Amino acid sequence: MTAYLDTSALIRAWRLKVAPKGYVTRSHSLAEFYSTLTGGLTARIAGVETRIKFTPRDAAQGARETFSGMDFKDLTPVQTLAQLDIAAKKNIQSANIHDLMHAAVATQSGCSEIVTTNEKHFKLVTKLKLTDPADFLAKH
Amino acid sequence: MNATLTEVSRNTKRVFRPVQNGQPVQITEHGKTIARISPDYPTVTMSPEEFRALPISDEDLNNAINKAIAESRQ
Repeated sequence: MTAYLDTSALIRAWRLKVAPKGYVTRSHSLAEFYSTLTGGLTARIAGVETRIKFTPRDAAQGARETFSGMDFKDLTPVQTLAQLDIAAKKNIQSANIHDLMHAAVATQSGCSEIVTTNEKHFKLVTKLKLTDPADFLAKH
Repeated sequence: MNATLTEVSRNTKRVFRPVQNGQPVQITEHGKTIARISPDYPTVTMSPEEFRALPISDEDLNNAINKAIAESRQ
């Protein structure tokens, strides 16, 4: 059994300068990683909420390094449509569909856990064990 | 935080105070949200190494990442 690392877990790995080996993610995580780093994240610096952005070059390089040992698994279009049916039945709306897709790939790939900072939203779409990236990356 | 359109016109400074402290404010009229005022954060471009050197707690970092991913999906 292996673990699925979502985009948030891979951003945590990038900050630690760690390239996880042999764990599962999907190709879409690459785009989310790049989009999140170039779009920026908000953190408190010297007491001031500040938008921190990274250059496209650093984001692309970070993705190349961080994802280098990942095992990419993806849904086929037919499997993706089946997940949309499930989403409709569960009344999953808006951007939460992305978490459902991550969880679907994790389940389909035989993962025993999903490593994510976003336990709150993943709880709504999967029964797999959810692990905080800090705990996971410290052990692996 | 919510504020009515009437409060915006009568007490603009009070409505904007939370925004200045980093909190968005939803403006409502007759109970319906009609607008959202968001803080305009100062922006810096950092190198990965500068970011790695920033002291951020695990919890704050997780929150920042979750918010940034949500924004990138919009």
